[in-house]
Amino acid sequence: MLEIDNLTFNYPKRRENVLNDFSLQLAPGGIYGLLGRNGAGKSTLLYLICGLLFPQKGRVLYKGADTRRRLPDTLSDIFIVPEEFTLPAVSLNQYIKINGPFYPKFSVDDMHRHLSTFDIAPDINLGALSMGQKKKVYMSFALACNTSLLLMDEPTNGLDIPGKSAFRRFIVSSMREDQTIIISTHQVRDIDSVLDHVIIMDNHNVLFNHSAFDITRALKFASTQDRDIIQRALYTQNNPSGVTVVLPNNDDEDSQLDLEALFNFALESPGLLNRQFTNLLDN
Amino acid sequence: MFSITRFADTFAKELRENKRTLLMRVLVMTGIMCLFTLFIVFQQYEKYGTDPDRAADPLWVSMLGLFVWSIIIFGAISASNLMKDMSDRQSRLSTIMYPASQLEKYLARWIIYIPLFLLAALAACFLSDLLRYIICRSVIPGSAVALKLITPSELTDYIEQYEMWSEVNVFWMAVLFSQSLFALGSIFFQKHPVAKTFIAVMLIATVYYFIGYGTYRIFDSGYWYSGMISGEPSMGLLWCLVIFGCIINYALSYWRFRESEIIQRW
Repeated sequence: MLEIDNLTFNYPKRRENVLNDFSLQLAPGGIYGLLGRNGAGKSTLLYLICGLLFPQKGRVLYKGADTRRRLPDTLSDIFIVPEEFTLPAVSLNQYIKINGPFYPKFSVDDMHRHLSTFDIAPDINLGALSMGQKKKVYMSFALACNTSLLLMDEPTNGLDIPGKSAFRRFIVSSMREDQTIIISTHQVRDIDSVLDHVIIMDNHNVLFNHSAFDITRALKFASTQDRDIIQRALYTQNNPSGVTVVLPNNDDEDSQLDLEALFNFALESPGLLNRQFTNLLDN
Repeated sequence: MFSITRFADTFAKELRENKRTLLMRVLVMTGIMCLFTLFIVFQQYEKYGTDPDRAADPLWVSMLGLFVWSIIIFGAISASNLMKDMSDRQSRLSTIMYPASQLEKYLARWIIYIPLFLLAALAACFLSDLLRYIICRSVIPGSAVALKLITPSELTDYIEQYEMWSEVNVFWMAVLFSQSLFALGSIFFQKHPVAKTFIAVMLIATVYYFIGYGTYRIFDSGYWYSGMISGEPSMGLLWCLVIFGCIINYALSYWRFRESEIIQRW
């Protein structure tokens, strides 16, 4: 569904490319987490995917159409929730009436359902909302458009604590089988329970790209004080409560995916991590 | 590339999301013109008692001058707002991403900020003239014979009487061309487009003046057969040049808008 072929991109007046010969293919359906260090190119990649930026080389094909052309049919099937955005000073009902017609699959009922998840009344003026409230409204509208591709850049920034748990419920309950959501974030704890797939970027390229199912099949995550376990671990991380370990899952045990540990492991020892998955695929 | 239904939705979106700002601009323009009208009336209303030519309204010269300069200046300001939504990152993102073709988005904005503005400006001229008429009628009831509202038929007679058709043509050429220049400036200069476009136009005009003057001197000096060039260009030729220039300016601004990204690359 989404093909990213040999993308190279740099910003004006910067010597180094943000993305260098970057390629990625995403199948339809699923929630993808896009993780990476500051400056790794996560937001840039999202903007390139939806045609907000033009690459120096390479292309992005969404359902066969080059997103650089910004065809209305393509744009009506992609929605991006950026980190910062602007809403006009109109009532929410007017905003829905003005913008809903551009998205063929837009549903007013879905919109009201999402608003109630976030505890937002439908009869509000957008100009009078706080940043967090605007974000909730914008995300509600984004999901109500029912586009096949939804991109979210740091979606939980600015949300209060109830808002973050509402966001997780909201993403999972609104997901459709044919819909793909890509979430770029540093706040891994806000989304680790909803992801189907993890992509880690570093050094202008993809460092790690596997499904959450395969990750928990190949690896085991635990918090322990046991020295034997710590010694056997592929990766260890000191925490106030103990030591977080990442172990090979030789016994096929279930464990909760620890995205922070996985991310740090990927950055520290990408070769070791990817070898673990190669072994899994061979078996 | 172009769908009538989607274009209608785009036009409605641009109008409804910006209606407060647009209305405020029209009100400010009307208010300023009314203020200047009041100034003209209180400075010159005595002419109604002294002007021997009762056929002509003595304040028309000043009022028409006010209208001409208001339409040119406010037209330039309106055209400079054509690409206002491309001035910051968040607005650019929103403008680029909503599902309409770039041509539909551009055309919707063009209609609002160019011809619809002109209609609003003409309405503002009518209202300020109506204000003049009402005030003068109440202040100087005795010599109201010469007092006339500027209506299309009265204005046509006035232009015919004083043979001002070439001036009218030059005025409309100036309005159309300056709007196209400031529209082009709005896509290149995101911050302070009015001032920057004005400075750029003055610099370019100065350069062209010297090039044109130099060319004229070459032709005039006898090196070339000066009979190849007629003395005064025809109004038709000037209109062709102005329309061609406007098309070039709008085409360039559309092309630049179409190639816009959320960052300012150049």
